[in-house]
Amino acid sequence: MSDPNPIIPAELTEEHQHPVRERNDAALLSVRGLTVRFPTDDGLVNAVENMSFDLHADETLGIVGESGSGKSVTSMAILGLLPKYAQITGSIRFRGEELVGQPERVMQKVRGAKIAMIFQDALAALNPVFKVGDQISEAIATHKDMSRKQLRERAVELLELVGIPNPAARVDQYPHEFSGGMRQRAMIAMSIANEPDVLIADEPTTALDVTIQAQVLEVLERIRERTSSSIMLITHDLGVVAGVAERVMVMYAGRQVEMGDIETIFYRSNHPYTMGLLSSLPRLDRRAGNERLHRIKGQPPSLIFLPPGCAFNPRCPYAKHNVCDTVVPDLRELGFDHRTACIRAEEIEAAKETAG
Amino acid sequence: MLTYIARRILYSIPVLIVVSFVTFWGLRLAFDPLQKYRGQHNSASILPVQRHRLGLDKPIYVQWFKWFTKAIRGNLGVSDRTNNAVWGDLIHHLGTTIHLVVWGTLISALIAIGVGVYSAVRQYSIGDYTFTGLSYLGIAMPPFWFGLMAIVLLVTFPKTHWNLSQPIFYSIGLHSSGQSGIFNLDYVRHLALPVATLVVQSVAAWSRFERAAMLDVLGADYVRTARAKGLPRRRVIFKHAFRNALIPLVTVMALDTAALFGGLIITEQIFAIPGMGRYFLQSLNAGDAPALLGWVLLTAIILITANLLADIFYGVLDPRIRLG
Repeated sequence: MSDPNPIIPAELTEEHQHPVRERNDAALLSVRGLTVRFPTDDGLVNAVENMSFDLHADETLGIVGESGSGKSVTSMAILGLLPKYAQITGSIRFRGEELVGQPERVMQKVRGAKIAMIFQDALAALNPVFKVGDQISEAIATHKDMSRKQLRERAVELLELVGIPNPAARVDQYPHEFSGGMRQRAMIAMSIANEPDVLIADEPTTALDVTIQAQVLEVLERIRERTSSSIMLITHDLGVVAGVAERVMVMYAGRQVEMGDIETIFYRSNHPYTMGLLSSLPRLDRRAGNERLHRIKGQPPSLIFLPPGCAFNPRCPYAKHNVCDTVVPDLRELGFDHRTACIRAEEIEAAKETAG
Repeated sequence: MLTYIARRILYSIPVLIVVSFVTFWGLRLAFDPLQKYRGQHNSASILPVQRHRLGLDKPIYVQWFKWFTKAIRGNLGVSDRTNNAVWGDLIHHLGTTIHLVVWGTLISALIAIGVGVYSAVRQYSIGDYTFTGLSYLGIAMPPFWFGLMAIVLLVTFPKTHWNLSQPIFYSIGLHSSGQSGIFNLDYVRHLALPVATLVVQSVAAWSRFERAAMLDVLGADYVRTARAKGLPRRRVIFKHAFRNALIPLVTVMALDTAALFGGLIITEQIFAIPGMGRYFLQSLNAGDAPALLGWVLLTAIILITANLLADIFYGVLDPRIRLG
């Protein structure tokens, strides 16, 4: 076995260290042991299993994983928007207040005001029969007493903030009169209307082309500077995370597999799944030639019949027989704010170091 | 908007031409306009004269054209059965049917929307299952059966069982003799059963439709967005979901209602209501071709108008639809 405590490069400990990172009591949003299961006719779907993480003030946390890895279910659980039949255990604390099991009445005060959500596919997520401005105003009016005139002014102001040209006219238009990028901006305007402490962005750029993606991410960045909201950025695109997030959590089959700050995940990952994801990114600094893009072999597992042991073991190039397929790996602290759920993480780390 | 309506009216002209020509042709094949001149002692001499006088020796499209040019000027000819102008008869019977259609549609719409929304919001609850069962029952009961059972159970039985001088509900006509107006108990007692016959059918179908539309909408992303804003459930359902779930129902309701103007044949027959349906049946039995032609033309116009209204409502409810 190799060194369990890999040397942490100086620049990581000093430059990129967030002072609030390890103070759990100061966490804005603190998730502990969150497990979400859905009973279905085919069996119990393990959508999220034993998830724990903190979101701190003024921080952007990227949550990465493929479809069905539990990213969106986690955000729905935070807002209390999961269907009634969902079985939720564990704890979600917002500023120390427990959210799991709270009645609708309490959650309604949190939603939109304290924790707001930006949904993917703004065309579907905006109501087609109401004006964009009215939908933004409604988000404010739900939590604050304001006159119609004030609401309208605020809606115009918000549209301007997210970079929609001619907001005074746009405010009276319907979602279908907006372009895709503008709709997503309007969605963002709606979510920041009450200056929430936490902004959950669920694949905010997925339905957009690359140029518009960059613009929307820029808006998110600007919002963060202006409002000091913490952002949970859910995406399947590591490229998006790289530009915006400070910390990254990688999920696979409803479980956390790796967590750390952005540098660590991108340059010092020691989980085979994260490494697979990273090497499957197209890169400009490598000559393509005839070389094919790397892919992770196989399919993500069924959430009803998870493989025994590590959920990734059937696809993992490092999987060890009788070890990886029997023991579910815990998320272990393997360096400063770097946690990995892989039994062979140290060996992988060592192998990578010798390989240079 | 106005150009749109004008264009739609223009488009309806060829439809009316085709409808009336096909009907005209069919009626000429089915009924013999010279029937009353046949089998008489001087038939042989009268028939050619009458044939020429009525223009029956001309090609069918010439005959139709003669009828059509008069029809568009409001002259639908004279009924063989009543000897009145067909136009006047039709308006009179339409006026009677409107009572049934208006009340039936109004009551059906209210109940169907209420039941549909309730069933969708409380999907798979006892209430939902109950309404589902009832609507299957409603669809399964044909109006002639329901109407007759209503008369037996609510008119005849109570009257004989409790020895009443008059029944609780009436089963003939819209008013008792000497009565008129719509804001009196007599009217309600006459209208209750025929309207109920109609409502049972409409509610059964429309409530299922509204339930499906509402379920569809409740699963939509924008409903989730509304909840994520912190809106109370009530507002999410009645503002965000309801408005969208109404859009598909409006089209169905407009067309179904229009069809009722000519489609209450059985109900009007059972309750002896002199409306459009009864007029059609009586004209058909009498082989009254001018009346039948006029009837088809009028119901076609009503259907076309309802179609246009449905499209206009659609544009009002859904801003994505631009009429132009």
